[in-house]
Amino acid sequence: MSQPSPPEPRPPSRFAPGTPARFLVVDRQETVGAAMAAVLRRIVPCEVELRARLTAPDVHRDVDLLIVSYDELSLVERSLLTVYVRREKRGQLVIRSNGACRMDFPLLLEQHVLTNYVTEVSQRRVHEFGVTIQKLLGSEQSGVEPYFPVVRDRLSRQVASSVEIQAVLEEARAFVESKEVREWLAPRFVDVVDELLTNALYNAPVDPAGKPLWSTRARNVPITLPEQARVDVQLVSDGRRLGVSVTDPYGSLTREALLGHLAKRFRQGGNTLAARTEDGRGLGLITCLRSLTHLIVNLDRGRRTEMIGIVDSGISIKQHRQAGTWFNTFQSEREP
Amino acid sequence: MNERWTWRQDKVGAAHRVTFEGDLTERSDFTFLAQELPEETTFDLGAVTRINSSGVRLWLAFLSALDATGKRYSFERCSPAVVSQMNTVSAFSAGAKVKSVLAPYYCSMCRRLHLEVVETPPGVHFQVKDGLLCSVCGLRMEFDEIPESFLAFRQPQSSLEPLSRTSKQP
Repeated sequence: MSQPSPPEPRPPSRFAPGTPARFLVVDRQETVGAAMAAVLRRIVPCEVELRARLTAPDVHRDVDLLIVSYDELSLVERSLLTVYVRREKRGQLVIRSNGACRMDFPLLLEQHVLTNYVTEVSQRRVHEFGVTIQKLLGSEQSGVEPYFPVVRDRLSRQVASSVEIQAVLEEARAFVESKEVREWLAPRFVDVVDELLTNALYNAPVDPAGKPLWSTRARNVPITLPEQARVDVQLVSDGRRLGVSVTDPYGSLTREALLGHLAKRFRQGGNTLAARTEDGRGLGLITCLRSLTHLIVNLDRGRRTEMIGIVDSGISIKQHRQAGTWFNTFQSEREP
Repeated sequence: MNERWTWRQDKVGAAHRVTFEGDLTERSDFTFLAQELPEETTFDLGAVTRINSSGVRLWLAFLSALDATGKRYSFERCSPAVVSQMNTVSAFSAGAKVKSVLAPYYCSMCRRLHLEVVETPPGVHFQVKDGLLCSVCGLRMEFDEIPESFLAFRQPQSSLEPLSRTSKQP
């Protein structure tokens, strides 16, 4: 007899603005949990409960945001996260990890448990974490600039055709190299701009029926966006971080597709991420995750998709690897 | 035509060498090169600065063309961009002998990155070369990667599903 399919993950409920946010922080290490609570209290008016363990009653409580330190959870506790995301009227979920349990990532992505992932919230990253929390609580902040309270330099371009990609990449290279960043960073940042822009031009466009226009076209065959459509590219710098946002006007990417692509491409093998390219997608996303310190995807179905990348420009390759890459997905609640 | 991607063929005695340079992208048309190469070739990859996902597919097609004709190849002086792809894409170096890589070292005084050639003989565990001194200020440089994962492509990958070299464009 076949097993019934597990319930589908539910979207989180909307936080009620004007009231203190309710956070539940689960962390085996009391000092780490307390530090997280202190950070949260600086970001928004809130009530924070700390737990050393996640229990079944916890996942059924009404909280606006559950933050769990994943690596120390037991198997039972990890399975409770799946229960949480399938609840009606649940809050948001943030997984905090140092990557020790990478082998769980494919399943967590497929189950929509891993939609928001952070590593250590260091002092350097408190502002980014604050914007992340505000957006998780419903603040509709778009663009890369909310993550940059100070902008020292910016570059904006609108792209209509793939023949413009090389020019944009040359500008991005010059933009980065003018910032006196670490030598390793310039080609990696250009890689990110390349992958995000190519994805926006070739994979995002769909016809009125939602059918992809050029996703299977070879990338050396030029395309031009139809009907005055444009892809917006923004580069910013605040002197210690670089940011890029690439926005397409189609909004064809769904959270299911995004998480599914990532799940397929995460495999355990030491510390290696192995990638597949049967459908030509996803390798660019892995490149972005390896090159950035923070990848944000803002999804607005049928309207636009915005991919934002942030990288700390003052750290070494080793520090970059050790810091880990944050990953956040935000789904607009507007009707498609 | 990709003016940022070039190659040069050299023959020293019986040894055939191809030195690639620049950005490996969708504009890097070099697959016909596979027909020109002899039975055994060394690819010098030290000057490969950037590889995008389209470039990875072209590279895999190139290696597939070599495999199909039984030609052998080895990689030398793999740049950080190449090492990164070897760590990310399981078939990027499959079939090749990876003889050496360029390991990143950083001088905090000069704020300068130095790439040191490190031999990678098969079966020999990678060891960080300590005590490297900056050629400018003479101070000790630090290895700028995580040693355990720097050459992750060499670790056993029994649970990995290898990338198909016959995957179609794009």
